[in-house]
Amino acid sequence: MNNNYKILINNVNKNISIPIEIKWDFLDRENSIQEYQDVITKEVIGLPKNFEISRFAHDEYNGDSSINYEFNFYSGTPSYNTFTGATSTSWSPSYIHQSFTISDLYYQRRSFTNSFFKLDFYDTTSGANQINYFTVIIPTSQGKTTDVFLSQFLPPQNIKKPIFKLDYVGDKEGFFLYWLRDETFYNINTFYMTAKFFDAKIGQFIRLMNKGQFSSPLNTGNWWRFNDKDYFYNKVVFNYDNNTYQVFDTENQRIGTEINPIKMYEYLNPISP
Amino acid sequence: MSRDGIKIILGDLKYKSAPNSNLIIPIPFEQNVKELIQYNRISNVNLAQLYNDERELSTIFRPTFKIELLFKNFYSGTTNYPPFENNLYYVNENKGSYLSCSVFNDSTIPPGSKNNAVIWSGFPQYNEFDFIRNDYNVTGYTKAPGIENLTEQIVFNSKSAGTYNWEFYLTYPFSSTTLEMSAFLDPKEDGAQTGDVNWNANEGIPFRISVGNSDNVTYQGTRIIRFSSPIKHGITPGEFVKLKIYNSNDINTNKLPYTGFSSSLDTFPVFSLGNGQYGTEDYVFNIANLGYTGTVFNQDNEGVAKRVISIENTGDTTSKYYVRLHKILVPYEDIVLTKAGFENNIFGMNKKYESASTTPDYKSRVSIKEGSQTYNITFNKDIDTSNIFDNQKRPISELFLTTIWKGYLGWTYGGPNGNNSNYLKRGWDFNLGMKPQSIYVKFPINFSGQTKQGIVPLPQSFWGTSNGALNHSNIEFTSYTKNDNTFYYVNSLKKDDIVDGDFCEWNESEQTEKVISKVNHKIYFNSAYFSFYPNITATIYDGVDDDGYSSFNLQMPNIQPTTPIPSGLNFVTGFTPNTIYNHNPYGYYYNPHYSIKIKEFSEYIETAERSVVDIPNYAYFSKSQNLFIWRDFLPYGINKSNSNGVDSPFINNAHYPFSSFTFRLIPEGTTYWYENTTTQDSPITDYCE
Repeated sequence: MNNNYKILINNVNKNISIPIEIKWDFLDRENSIQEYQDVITKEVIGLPKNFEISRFAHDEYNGDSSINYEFNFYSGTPSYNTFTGATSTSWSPSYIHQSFTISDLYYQRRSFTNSFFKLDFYDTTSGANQINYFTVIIPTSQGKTTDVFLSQFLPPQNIKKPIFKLDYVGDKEGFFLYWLRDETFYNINTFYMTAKFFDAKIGQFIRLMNKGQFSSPLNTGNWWRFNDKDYFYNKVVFNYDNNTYQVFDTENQRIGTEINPIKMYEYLNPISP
Repeated sequence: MSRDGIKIILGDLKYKSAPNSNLIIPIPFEQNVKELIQYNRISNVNLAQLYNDERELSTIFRPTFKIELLFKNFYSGTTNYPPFENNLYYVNENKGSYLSCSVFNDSTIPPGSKNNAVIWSGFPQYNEFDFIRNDYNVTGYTKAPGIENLTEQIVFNSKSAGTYNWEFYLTYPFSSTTLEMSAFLDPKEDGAQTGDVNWNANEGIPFRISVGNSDNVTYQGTRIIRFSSPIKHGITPGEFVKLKIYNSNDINTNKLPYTGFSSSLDTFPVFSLGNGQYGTEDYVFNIANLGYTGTVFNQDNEGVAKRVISIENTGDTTSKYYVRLHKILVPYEDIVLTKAGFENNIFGMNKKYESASTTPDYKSRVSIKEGSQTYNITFNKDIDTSNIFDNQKRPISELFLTTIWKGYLGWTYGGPNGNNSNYLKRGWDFNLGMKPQSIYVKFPINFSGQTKQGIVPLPQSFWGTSNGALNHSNIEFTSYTKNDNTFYYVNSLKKDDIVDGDFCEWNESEQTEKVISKVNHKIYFNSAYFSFYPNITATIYDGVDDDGYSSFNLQMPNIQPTTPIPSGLNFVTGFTPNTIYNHNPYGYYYNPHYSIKIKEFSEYIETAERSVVDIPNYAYFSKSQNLFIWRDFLPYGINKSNSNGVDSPFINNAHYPFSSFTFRLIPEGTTYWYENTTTQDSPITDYCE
């Protein structure tokens, strides 16, 4: 395009059409770029995620809110013949059956106070691909008591027993479960809970079952022949609306209430005949 | 070049004999197209900037509070209601047990039976005031769920342990209202009247003219008219006051405008503050007496005043007055109240062992008079403030933790005869304290066995029944029946329910809300279930006794009526506990609203013409200035000179503001229980210093 025009005289008016080329630009292109930059930045870094947790309490029943656990230890001799003949009375809620003496319990020896129950919460009962999302510890400093005689010359004294009534007041460690409040992060409201007892006196832990090895059909020669998912888990269902949870057994009956506590039984490893 | 109508003319046509010549037109071509610069195409990811951006945009809040309950268990008394009587912190346990034992010799009472004639007096235990009750399954008092409840006061639901006494809510001021108010005023000026002043909250701050136009009082050489208020007026010299002066103390009338001069006046410049006494500047303001005549500015006239910053622009600079209204944002169900680990107040726990022989039900226990626990409050739900606006229609800048006394066990509500005359009372800071009255009574300092005698004014205040519904909160009651008695407690509030708040001032030209007086709630015992006024009938005399006290003179228990009647006194009537009760039963008061700042306004007032874009929609438009006026929010983490700003943690795409405060439950009338107060002299300053 030439921009140097020469106009010669010929006594006639002339019009000159000057083509002025204009290249249009988009309005606010910079803003668009800024917006695009934000989008890309979020793609690169990611959006903020909500890892905040909420407190879930045991759901009420009949005006009560306590959750009740009863942990039973095997009291018999750990020999094949004795074990195969064991009945329900062979398991009972007493630390005495689990290597502790009355003195250990009464004097609160470290071997006892450092022992604890551990509840693990998994997303599935399949041991092959399950994830343990959180854990709750129930210390032995909590729990109900029973009377024992330290000496024939002394009045009966209270010692702890592994029966727990956890609530908003009183014993409450382990009563509340803390879990993500945002359902969108992990869309999960059902967990499967297992229990273990960590014995500080012998430095071992034992697994606890939801049914004793005395119960049918395990007691008919199937003491160690069963599927883990049926005997080691109880189901815990969270309600995100009112921040509560309920516990169910394998028959989907609600447990953990005052009259129907969560009963767990010591699992004994296979014993040779 | 912008001209596009260029006409080219031949040279000889310009003027006669003009020569023709070649013409050259330089045409500049302007082009505004630019290429994108590299800076705009390449941007580094700036984490700090991204954090700030997300922080500024986020409207999600998760506030946390730490509350220290500071409480002095002050009133010991008696009750005839067995479950309560069996669970007091006794102060006369030795005397009570002695009297109980002595009746074993009375053949009319079977051995081992309780003698109901024995009065056990003591303090309600700390559980009656604590945020979380822990008296679960206390024999004769509370029952565990599932156990048949015969005479116990409640079936103790553990989940409700934190809501039996108090309930917490998260609220925000969403609107305002006006209320009729009343406050006691003693101007302490010669000849000035002492007594209540009444006003409507929206009309300003109340006053009484303590120095009238005819009193000829001068200040710094200028005759003044003095206005005394029971409230801090917030006025500075040089500002103005727009007055309304009642006619015959009728708050619906107005003697102004003043027409004694050529123009009508109702707004006056403030000449000075105070009356010369220490601390009165906040409560007293003076205007120059320019020779006002008539009765408008007579001493003891009452009225209300509004602060005016500029007489040139009264429309924008006249303050507005109102009572803030709070709306429930988070109900108590979504509040998590827990005991704080490892923190107690400095006063510790006050408890003692009550042996079985020194309790009316012969059961041993540990009684707690005061505790020291500190509490934490969090919320199950996130607080999204994106669509919440305050009473000035601005995005909210502060939230409030609102505490309401529930009193589920029923000792505080219901009135002396079981009817519903006890209310959760509501007043403001200017209503605290007692009004000195011209009537005096003699009654013991301590009703818990000691009979020290003192002369004290009969308690009377805004909180008394004489003010009727003026001091009743707007919270409703529910009742239940136990042991043939009716017990009342206040209803739980629901989301969007409304609670009265502080008395505030707002000035459009300052764009600032000032709290003039904080709201308070008061609770007091239902005398049917707990009374610290002895259950006796005494004698009242009228006149002036030897101590110089006028009006009546009361003889209380264990103090024999004065015989003969002191000179100057006349017998008036028999006295019952309800006489005191109906005047003003002592109780505890507390501040229900505690603020947590979530945003901070700038200290600069922004102004802009209408054409400016991005004016916030809460900006005030000043017609006189033809400008919008507002204050911007400060970015998070930015302080201003007179505050710390807001710099709460920001994670999980949410803000985590934290507030720690001391919740005081204050016994009323404390200064009236002692005959003399002593003050410690300042230490001598000598060379040893």
